Amino acid sequence: MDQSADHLPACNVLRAEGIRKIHPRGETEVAALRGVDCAFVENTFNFILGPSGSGKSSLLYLLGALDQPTSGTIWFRERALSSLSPAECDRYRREEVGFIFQSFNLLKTLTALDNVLVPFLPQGISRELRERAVELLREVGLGHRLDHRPSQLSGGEQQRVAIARALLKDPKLVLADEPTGELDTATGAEVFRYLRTLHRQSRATVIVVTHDRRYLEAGDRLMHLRDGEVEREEIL
Amino acid sequence: MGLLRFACSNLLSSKVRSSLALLGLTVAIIGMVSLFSVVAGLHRMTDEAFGRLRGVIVLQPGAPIPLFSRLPSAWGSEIAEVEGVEILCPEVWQRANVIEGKMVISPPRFIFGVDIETWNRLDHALYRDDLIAGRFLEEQDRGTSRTVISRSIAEEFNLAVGDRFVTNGIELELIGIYDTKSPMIDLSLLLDISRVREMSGMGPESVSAYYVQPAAGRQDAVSEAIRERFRGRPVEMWLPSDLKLPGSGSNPVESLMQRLDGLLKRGRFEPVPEEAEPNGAGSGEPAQNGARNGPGREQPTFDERLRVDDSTAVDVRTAEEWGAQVSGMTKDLDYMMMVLTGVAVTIAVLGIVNTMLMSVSERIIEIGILKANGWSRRNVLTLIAGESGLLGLVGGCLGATIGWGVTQGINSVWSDRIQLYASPGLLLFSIGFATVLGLLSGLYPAVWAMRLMPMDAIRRG
Repeated sequence: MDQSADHLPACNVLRAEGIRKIHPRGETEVAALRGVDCAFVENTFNFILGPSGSGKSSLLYLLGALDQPTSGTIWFRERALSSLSPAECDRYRREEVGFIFQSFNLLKTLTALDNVLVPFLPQGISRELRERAVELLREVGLGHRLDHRPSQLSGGEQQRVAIARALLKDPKLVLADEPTGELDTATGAEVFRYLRTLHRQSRATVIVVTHDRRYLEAGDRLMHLRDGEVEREEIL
Repeated sequence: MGLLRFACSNLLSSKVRSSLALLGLTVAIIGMVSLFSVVAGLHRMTDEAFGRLRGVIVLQPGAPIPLFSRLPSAWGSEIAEVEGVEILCPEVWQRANVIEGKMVISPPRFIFGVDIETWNRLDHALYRDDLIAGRFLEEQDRGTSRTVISRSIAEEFNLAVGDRFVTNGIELELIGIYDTKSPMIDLSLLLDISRVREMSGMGPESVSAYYVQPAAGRQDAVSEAIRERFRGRPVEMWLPSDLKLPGSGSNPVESLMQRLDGLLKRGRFEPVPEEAEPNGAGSGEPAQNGARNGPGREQPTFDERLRVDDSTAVDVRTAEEWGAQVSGMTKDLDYMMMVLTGVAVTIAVLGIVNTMLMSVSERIIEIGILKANGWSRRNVLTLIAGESGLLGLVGGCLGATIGWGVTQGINSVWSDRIQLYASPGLLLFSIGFATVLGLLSGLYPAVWAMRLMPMDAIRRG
């Protein structure tokens, strides 16, 4: 694989150049990423695979502007994320990125429907938006659980709520951090089925971090990370 | 689901914590409303009480009230000659120390010697116009011990018209009861002036003060004319050390201090020798002899205290000036109330800051999630500051309501002694103040939270 950013195809929606991320751990430092170069093509379903501690989640957070790299640049279309003001960064997360966490990260005081609507709460919820949220929840099989709180939902159901939340904003990027990590195999497969279906409908670029090879046939590209570096890339 | 509902649900999700913060703020606002209603009540009582004075009062310069004033009787004819003076009423005041064998401490009670003939000629006469039972003093009551008292005194001592009771050792006959509705002036037992002179020992050469009814619309002009009339004359200023009790040749405060001084110096509590009273003066009589200040004491002599300057020898006060004087006296009270409120408010602010910091710390993952979902820094700031502002608003409403209830309760229980006044302005200010306080208290945790990167927040959680 050619890791030079200069030679990446023009339809790349996201690319990373020389990304390093160092986490301070007390008096020592842990290098999560050691100079990663990569690119993601528009409207593809991508996997980042690697063992624990390989830096795959760290890379995903940086791609979603949830964290800042120690060095290196991430480009979304032609704009470097590091050049964005805090307000622009907020807008990037709000309008371009849908994030799905391993541990669902739903707000416990809100219902399933309100959790889906959470990104738009500050702007106010229009009737159209509410109807879209209800439709998304129906698409992931939760039409009958709209008013249930997270504590009343199973793990799979919570993750499906999180998927609906990520897709409500019709993002260009969907970033999923081990979305099946806390689910059993059957539920995990179901979640992937929804994810794949919604990807086809939304035409967003999906990047899924996982260490489970069972769901890989659902993707287009696979990137292997090891010890904070890109080991290799594959077309699936 | 709007931001407001989200903020409410967040507060309700931690009921105990929110309730404690609310309690702290509510108590502070109750304290604030109660304390400031004392001051407002005092001002209101003053305005109501002195607003009823249509005339002016002439007293000894510096005397806070007529009780502590003394003027020569001879000056009465001079005041009466001033253009615009329609009626001149001499007054003699004495403190009622013991009524029906009970020492009178608080509220104080005063024996007011009224010149019946002139007082009854006044167009608007305080007390006479407020009679609720019996009759007012008339010519036939001259030289007698017949008295008119306030409703609060009658209730305190369970007296009715026709009853006889003893005040300062003299048996009085109750002929009338008045009610001005102002605890500040419903303090007097009215008797004929000559009888009060006998009781107090104040001779005919002196009066406590003069009440002047000026011609219509000429109150200020008459006041100024009286001042001018006495401008340049020797001024005898009233000093607190002038205070004497009837039957005692010395100032009780002064005597106590001398005894304490003796105790400290000689190790024993010795009585202070009585000194000759210069002219048998009663309460409020100004010092006429420097010797009574005690040997060796560096007190100003009578001559030293007499000074001639361009000031006037009398103090002429209108209703507005009485009000201003009381306001001046209560200024320190205002400061004290502010300090006390400040302490309570500081505790409440710390409570809210603590609550919001705890809330933000506990919900740090939630804040990370919100930011990961595109919430801007301003959105996070608005949510957290909004939650604390909501706490402030609810605490303010509760505090203002309960504080108002407390003032009403106090007013109904001690209606004849105190009138607290929680004005609508004070209540609205309290609510606004609490809301702003809540908002400001939430700002620090809100700013802290909004600055976090989403993953920093999620990792901290």
